[in-house]
Amino acid sequence: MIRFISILCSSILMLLSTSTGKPLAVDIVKNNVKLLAQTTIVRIEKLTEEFHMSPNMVFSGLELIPETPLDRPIEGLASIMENLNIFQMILFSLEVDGMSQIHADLVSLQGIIHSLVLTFNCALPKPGSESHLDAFLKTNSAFHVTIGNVALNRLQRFLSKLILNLDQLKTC
Amino acid sequence: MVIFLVYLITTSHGVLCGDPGGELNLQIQGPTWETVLWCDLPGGHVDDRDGEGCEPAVSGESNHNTTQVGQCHTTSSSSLPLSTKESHGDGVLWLNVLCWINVKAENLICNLKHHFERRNKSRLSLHLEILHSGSGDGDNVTAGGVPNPCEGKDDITCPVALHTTSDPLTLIVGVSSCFITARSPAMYIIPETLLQLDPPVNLQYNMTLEGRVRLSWATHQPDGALLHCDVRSSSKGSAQAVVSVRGVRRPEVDLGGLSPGLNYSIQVRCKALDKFDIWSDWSRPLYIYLHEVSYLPERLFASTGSNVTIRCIFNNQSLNASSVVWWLNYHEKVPESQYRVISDHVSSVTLLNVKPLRQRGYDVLHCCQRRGEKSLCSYPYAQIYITDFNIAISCETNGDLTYMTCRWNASQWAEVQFLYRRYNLPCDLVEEEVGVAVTEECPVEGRGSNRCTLKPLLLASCYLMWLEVRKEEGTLKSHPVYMTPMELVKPHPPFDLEAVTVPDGALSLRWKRHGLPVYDFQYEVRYAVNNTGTQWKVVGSIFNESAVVPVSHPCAIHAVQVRCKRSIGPGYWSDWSSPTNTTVRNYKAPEEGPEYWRLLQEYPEWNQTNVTLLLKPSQGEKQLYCVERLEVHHETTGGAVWSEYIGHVSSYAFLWSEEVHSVTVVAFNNLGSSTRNRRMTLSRRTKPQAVKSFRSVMINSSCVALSWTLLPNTSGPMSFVIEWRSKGQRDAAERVDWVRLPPETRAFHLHGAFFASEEYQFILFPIYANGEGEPVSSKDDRGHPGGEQAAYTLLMIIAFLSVVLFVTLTVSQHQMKKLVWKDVPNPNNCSWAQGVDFKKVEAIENLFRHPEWLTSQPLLLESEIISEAMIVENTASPAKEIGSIGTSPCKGCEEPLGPKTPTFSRSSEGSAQSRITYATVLLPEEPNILYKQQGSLSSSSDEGNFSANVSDISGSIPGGMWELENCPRCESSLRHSCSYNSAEEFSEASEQEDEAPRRADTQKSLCYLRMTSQEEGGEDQGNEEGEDDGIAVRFVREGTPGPPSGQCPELPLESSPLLGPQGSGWSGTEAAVEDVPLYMPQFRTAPHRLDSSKAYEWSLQRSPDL
Repeated sequence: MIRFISILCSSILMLLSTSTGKPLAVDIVKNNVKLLAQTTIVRIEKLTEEFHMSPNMVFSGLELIPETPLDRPIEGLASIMENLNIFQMILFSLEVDGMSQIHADLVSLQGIIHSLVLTFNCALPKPGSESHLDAFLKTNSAFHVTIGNVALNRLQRFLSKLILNLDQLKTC
Repeated sequence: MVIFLVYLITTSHGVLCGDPGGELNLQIQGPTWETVLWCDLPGGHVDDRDGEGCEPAVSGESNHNTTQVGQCHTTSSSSLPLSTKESHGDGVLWLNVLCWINVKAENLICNLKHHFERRNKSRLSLHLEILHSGSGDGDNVTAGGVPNPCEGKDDITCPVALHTTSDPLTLIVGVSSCFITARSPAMYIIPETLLQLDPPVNLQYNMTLEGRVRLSWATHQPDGALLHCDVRSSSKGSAQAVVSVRGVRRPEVDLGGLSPGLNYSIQVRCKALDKFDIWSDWSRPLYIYLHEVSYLPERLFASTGSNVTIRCIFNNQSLNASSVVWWLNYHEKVPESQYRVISDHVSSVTLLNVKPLRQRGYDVLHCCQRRGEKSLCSYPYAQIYITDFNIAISCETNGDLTYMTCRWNASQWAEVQFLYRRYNLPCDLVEEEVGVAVTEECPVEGRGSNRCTLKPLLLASCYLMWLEVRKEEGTLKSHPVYMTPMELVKPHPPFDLEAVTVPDGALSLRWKRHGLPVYDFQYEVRYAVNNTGTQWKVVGSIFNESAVVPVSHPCAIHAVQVRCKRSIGPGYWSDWSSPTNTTVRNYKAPEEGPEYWRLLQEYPEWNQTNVTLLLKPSQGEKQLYCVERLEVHHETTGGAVWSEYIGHVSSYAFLWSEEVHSVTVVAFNNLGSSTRNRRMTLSRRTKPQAVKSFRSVMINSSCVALSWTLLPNTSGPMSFVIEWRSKGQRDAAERVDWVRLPPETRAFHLHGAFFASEEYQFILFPIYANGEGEPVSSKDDRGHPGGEQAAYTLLMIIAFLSVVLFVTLTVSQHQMKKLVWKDVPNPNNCSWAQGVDFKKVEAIENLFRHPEWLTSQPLLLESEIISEAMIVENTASPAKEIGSIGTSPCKGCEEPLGPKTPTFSRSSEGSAQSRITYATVLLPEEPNILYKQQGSLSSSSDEGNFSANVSDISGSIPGGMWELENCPRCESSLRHSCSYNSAEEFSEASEQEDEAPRRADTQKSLCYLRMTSQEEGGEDQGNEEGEDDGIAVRFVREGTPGPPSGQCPELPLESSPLLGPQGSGWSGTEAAVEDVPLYMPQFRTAPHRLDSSKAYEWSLQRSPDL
């Protein structure tokens, strides 16, 4: 009897959670994510206009900057949070004037994604050890133009993929 | 206190002692040994003790038995007496001991002195003993260590010779004052520890042009000293490597074998090579990280337009310099012609005429490895900076004159600082005073912001501003600009703008200005009718705070704005003030309601009619009032009366369902309503007929004439309304136009846009006081204009057909001519030419003059005169022509048939490269007739056949027609018997032969023969007028008048016995011989040129008529 009541209550709660307001809120949040990502993409395009990168240039030694495979969808919210964190660390460390606003956009985007994580009851990703990245950025600060340019290009691709995959994203 | 003491102890290295004994070479070679002692002198004050007659002890040993003995201690916190831990009071003496080895390592030198500066000379005596100790028993003074007392006051320096560097030396310090002595414990010094060098410092590395890593460092050794150094390198996960460098004077070494991508720790130690084999400690590590690619230089400063060369070194030995691709700014591939391979792993590139983006100040260069179409690059790069980069700076002072904001258009990738200097001088004087002011950096408003604000301002001072890029390798400065804040003021816009329009067409404006800046302003006003977009009209050069502007629509509401600027002197325009809407100031209330008409749309099923009133703006007394709104008063047969405000609209609709419905439209403004208003009555009753006829005629596209007549004995209407619409637009109310006319009007010219492609319907409505009369409609009549247009069109068609007919006839004539002459036989096949010697003149004469010939041949009918020979001479002598030109050819044609010799041949000089020497016409039983022809083209036979070419064409053109081409300005009026062959025919008959004279100089003579029918004379004449006028062979007759300049004389027709009365003719510069086609010419050309005048004379002599 107790089991039955507990199952009934949990079912009612589930129905309430799925039918009252939550989907609408998720849609709004996702829409905000898309708007902010699109805004950031436009900013990146403008900033990298004078340093437009040839597709024939392939850079080595920048494996610490996340690169989104074209043929693989974004894995989940945890992955999104992790990548955003790395990108915002990179942009914060680079001394390029135009990156400050893009960095602010990323911080804002992180906040929205974080609300999605909470909405889906996902476990927050553990803060990874970014000591390698931090050391790399400090050691190579003299080459911030290329590092920044590559990072912006990869961030642009990541955000584009995020916009495409966001609606299908249902996992943590 | 303790800390203070420890600090004193540890500050020793690198100190040079005073040198009381300079000859001992007291320079410190390596590290030093030092300590601090405190000595407890019991029983008294060490400084001020009275001891007159007190002799200080000579040595510690000698005073032991006679004086009090104290104790000296090395410093340590625990051993310090309590009384001296906080002060150096009475009975305690502090001493410093410092020892070192001199440069030549011959002596150990120790210095002993008071630790604190003493104010008075004391009676203290210091002594120092340095003893060579035996190994193992250093506490005793050994035999080898002869006591070496060294005494003195306050500060003593004592050397002792070194015998060995490994054995320790014993050091004892003593102090005595009268009868008090103190002695330190024995202290031991190992000399070799003082011979050790300091570890090297300032380790650094650079990359050589050949791509090697060169390490360098510094030592404390004097220059020139030979050193032996070890360099060790280690990295995580790899074995330590040591490189030894012996006998170097310059401390540097090339490091090989370093791999990219690893962090190396590099340390160096050295020892002197001269005497002692004592290594210094290892230096502090230098960390080296090599990227896959290094650039030389990494940053390069160049001026715009210069050529720069940069090397790239592949630290990864697997990468080869021969497969390099250089990229500029990530998207521009540098041409391979600018690459150079220095070695296997070093490549260079030369960039020509560098022009980095001025707003960024630098270019980025990458050296990559080619991988197919891709380039594999490492993230390090080289940067090329331009020294003359320029970024525009603009500043603006706010309207309150409290701050100045400066902006610059630098790239966001640029790393610039905004710097300025402020001079309390006008800018004109600043250039002479450069260097006085301090450079300051403007606080930029956040990262990424390309502007800064200077506050507070010195309004009349000069600000010198520039942008700077600072790098280790140098500094870039943009061109400085000079700014005076007072000249850069952007004032606040005027405020409290009032705008009033009056009906007579004026817009009156008034506004206020801010107090700052205090100088005078000029103003600009712009205005636009509301809701009409942004069609602003601007009025400028206003110097007061009010203005009156004419407007074309004074009754419409306008949006108005005003802005200001310094009237005299530099400054910016303010922003436009916030828009203000105009108000209308009326002088009186409307006098008359608006004109209007109605459109009806019936709904029979509901017994209702939708009425749309079309309202026209009030036409009367524009100067005094404007209509702001309208009101419609309704009144129906049921007695219902109501009103409705309709605003200021152009149409208004309502439903009409009663039998009679009256409406009155009243105009209002702020002063009242109109008094004279038009009333319209809509009635479903039978309408009276008043119009007898109604006619409309479209005059043109902008005017239609309307006229009508009324039935007799009808009451006169109050007015007429004419409504018109284009056909097919009946349902479109907006396309309906109308006009109201006074009652006496019977005809009216309606002006408007009437398109010919549309049909218009005009309806005449007689209007009575109680309603409308029966309307009459009329379609526009376009009969007259249309008829005229059709007539013009028909005329054009007729003219066109006439031209076509004429051309057709002309062409058919030519075709007929060809058909006729196609069957002329080949003269080679003519039997009559056999045996005729044309070289002989008699033969020709006989040929043509034989009377029997005339009789033996059938008379040539007029229609058979189909051949004509023409010989044209270029630029014939006018004098000769004057004397030889005879009657007109037509006249000659009328001459009776007679024994004339019609053939003359002559060609001008140089008409061709060869000439026809003769032609032979063989006639049976007749003497040969020879025609000698000059030049190449002119030849004629009695039949008029002719060759106008360098080649013999007689055989190739059987029975054909020839013409001498290019007859200049020849006008022949030959008719009837005067006939020609056209040049076209000749060309068609002998194309090859025609080529030569065409190629010849056009100034040279050219003659031709032509054969044609008699009727073609006139036509051909016309054709030849347009031909080349460089032809010059003429056949003339004496006694004929010469032609006027530029014209061809008309020559008499030359008759031949063979020809009829219309036998042949010559005209002007051309000659024609008509003949029967039986006689064909025989030609032969020869490369010979005769004098044309001789030939001409010859021809004349041979002519029987001349």
